[in-house]
Amino acid sequence: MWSRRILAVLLALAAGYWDSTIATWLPGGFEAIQFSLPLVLVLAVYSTEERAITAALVTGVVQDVLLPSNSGLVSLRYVMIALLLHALSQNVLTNRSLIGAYAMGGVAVLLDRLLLLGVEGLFRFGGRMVVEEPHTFIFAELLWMAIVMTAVFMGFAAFTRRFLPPISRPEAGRIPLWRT
Amino acid sequence: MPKPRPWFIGLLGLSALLLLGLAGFIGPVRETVRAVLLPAARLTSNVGASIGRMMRLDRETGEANRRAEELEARLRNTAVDYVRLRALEEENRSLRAQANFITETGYQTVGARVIARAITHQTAVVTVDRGSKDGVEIGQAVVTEEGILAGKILSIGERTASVMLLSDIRSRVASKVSGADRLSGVVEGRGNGAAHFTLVPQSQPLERDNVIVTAGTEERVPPNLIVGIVNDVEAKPTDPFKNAVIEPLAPLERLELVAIVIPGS
Repeated sequence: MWSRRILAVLLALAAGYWDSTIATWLPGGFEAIQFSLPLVLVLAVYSTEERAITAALVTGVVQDVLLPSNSGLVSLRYVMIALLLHALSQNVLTNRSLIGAYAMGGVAVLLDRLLLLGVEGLFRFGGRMVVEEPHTFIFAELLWMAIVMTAVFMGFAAFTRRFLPPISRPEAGRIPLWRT
Repeated sequence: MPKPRPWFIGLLGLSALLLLGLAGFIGPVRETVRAVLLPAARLTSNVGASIGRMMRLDRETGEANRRAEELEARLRNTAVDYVRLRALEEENRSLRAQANFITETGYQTVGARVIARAITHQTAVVTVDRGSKDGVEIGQAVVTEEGILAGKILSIGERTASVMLLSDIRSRVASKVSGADRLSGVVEGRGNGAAHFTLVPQSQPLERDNVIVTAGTEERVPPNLIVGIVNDVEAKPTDPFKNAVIEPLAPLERLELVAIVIPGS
C-alpha cells in the first residue's frame, strides 16, 4: 500500500532530523532519546522487509549528510540491522510477545554498537581521521528502546488485532466475514 | 519471473553506493541531498538548542544559572577589552610602522548556525551551515559573537562545514600569552571541554589568570583572538617546557551561532 510506504518514508525523515539535529543538543543520558533505530526495529519486526529497508536508507542518509561524524556510515548500518532483525523475527525470536520485543530491542542496540565499532575501526585502519559519531551510555539506549517497544507493543495489542489468536480454516468457514 | 527479494535489492543498492563512492561520484549527490535537507535542518537545530537550554535549567537554581551566565558574559567582555588594550599598547611600542612592516590584512566574518553536533568525551566537532560557496576554507578560525576563538574549520562541503572545537583532542592552535610579542606555545584540546597550553618555554612568564590568545603564525588564523584563561601552571625545573591548564572562554557546550573569519584578499 503506497500510503503506508509514504508514511514510513516521512517517519524516517522526521526520525533522521531528530537524531541528527535535535537529540545531539539534549544533555546527558537524554541524548539516548532517538527515533531512527526504534523505527527501523519496529518496521523490521512488525512490518515488511521492504519498508524497513526503505526507512533505514532514508533515515541513514539524513544522518550521514547532516552529522559531522564521517565514519559511522549510518545508512549501511541501519540497512544491515533491518535485514538481520527481520530474519531474526521470522526464524528465531518471536514478534508476538513483550519479552520478545525487549529481546529484539536489545539485539538492535548491540548490533548498532558493534557495527559502529567495526566501521570506525576500518576507518582508523585505513589511516583516515575519524570524527566519532556521538552516542550515550548503552544502558540509557537499552532503557529507551525498552520504553519504545513497550509503547509500540501495547499500542498494537490495544488498537489492532495483530496478537489475537489466528482463526483456523474450519472455524473461518463457520464465522461470518463481518465478525473476523 | 519471480520478484527479487527486498534484501537483495537493498544489498544491490548499497553495493552501488559503495562503488559510486569509490569512484568519486557520491560527492555531488551528497551535496545535492544536503542542499535539500539544509533548510529544515536549520529549523530543527533551533528547536533542539531551545530544548537543550530548557532542560539544562533547574527551576530551583534558575536564578543562580542566570547570574552565572551573566558573570561569564562579563568576564568574556572584560577579557576582550583587556586583550584589545594590550594589543594597542604593543602596536604603539612597535618599530614596524617605521620599517613599513605592518601588513594590511583585512578580515571579514561570515555568520553561521550550528546545525548538528558530534561531541563525545574526546572529540568535539560541529556542523555549520556555511561552506565553500560562502568562501569558507579549511583551517579558518571560527569565533563566537564576542570574537572568542571556538575552533577551526576541519572539512568543507559546498553548503556546510565541519568545525573542530578547541576541546577536541586533535585540536592544535598556535598561541601566546596576551601581551607577548611572539609565539609561546600550543593550545591542545583534552576532551570534555578542557584544553592545555603546552610547549611553553620555561623562560616565558606564565601565571594563573593570564589570557591566552592566538599567535597569528597560522596562515588563516588572525592574531590576538582570545582563546582562554590560565587556571593552573604545571612546571618542573628539569623540563624544557611547562604546561598550563586553561579554560576556553567560548561556551563550547552551548554554541549555536558562530562567525567564520575569512582572510581578505
